[in-house]
Amino acid sequence: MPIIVNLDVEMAKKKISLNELSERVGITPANLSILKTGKAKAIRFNTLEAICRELNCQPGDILAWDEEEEDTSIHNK
Amino acid sequence: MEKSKSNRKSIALLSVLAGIAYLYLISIDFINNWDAVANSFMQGYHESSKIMDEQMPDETFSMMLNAEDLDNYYCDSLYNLKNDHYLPAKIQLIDVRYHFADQTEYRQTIGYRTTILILVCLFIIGLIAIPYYFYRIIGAFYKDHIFNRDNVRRLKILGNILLVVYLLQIIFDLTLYYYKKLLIDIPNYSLSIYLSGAEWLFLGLITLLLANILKRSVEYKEEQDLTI
Repeated sequence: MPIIVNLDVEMAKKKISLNELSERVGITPANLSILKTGKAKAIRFNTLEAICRELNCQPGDILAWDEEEEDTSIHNK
Repeated sequence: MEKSKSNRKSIALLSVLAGIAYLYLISIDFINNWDAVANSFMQGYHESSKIMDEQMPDETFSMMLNAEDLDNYYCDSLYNLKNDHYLPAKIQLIDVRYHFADQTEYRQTIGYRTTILILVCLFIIGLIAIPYYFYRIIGAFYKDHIFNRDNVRRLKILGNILLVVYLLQIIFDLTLYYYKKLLIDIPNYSLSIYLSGAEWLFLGLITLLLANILKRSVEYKEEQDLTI
């Protein structure tokens, strides 16, 4: 998928652990791990809002679009 | 919780009803022609002893007849006891008993009999496999494991078995038709290919359609599960 999740980078910047963030955001560590590893298919606005609030960042800091990845995924289709 | 309980109850009830319907489907021909079935069993018993005594066996055939000449459609007659008159009649479905003339004739047709025996064995395996897969799917549904790839696979197998059973039925009917045609030729009538088992084709296609729908549902569920 051409959307890259940079949650690990933001978490490292803010020096916050996965368990702590999951507790603050109100989702399970397993689900947050799925999001962090880029396995998630979609993200709800309220989850994104909670993450941005807790990490004090913008959605663009967490999510990025990679053109090269898109080309590969189109070719794979 | 209450909803899940009532859902389980309805699944259990429907599966019991489906089981009864399946038994009805596979036994309806036996129930309708119980005398022919009883006769076949008795004849089979007698014929086996005949073969042991090296006598020529008999064979019973059920035949569907078509009138060869439509201008002479009622080419037979039946006696009416009510008014002592003969009723013009056309024979449609009859059972006949064929006596093999000699060993050569009996051996010539052994290919047909072997094919029929193999087809019947495969048919019985199919008839056992259908409720097996059906109840595995129902069991998974009962445990609330509905949207998973195992159920899609089981439904696909079930659909394919139903289609194979339909094909076996068609091959069986064709083999029997050519077997009868080899031995019997009746004036004024021609033998009809009596094709049966369209219900297996319909059920097979519906099952494969449901398998595809379930596959799509599983994909949606996986997508939903990965929405954070």
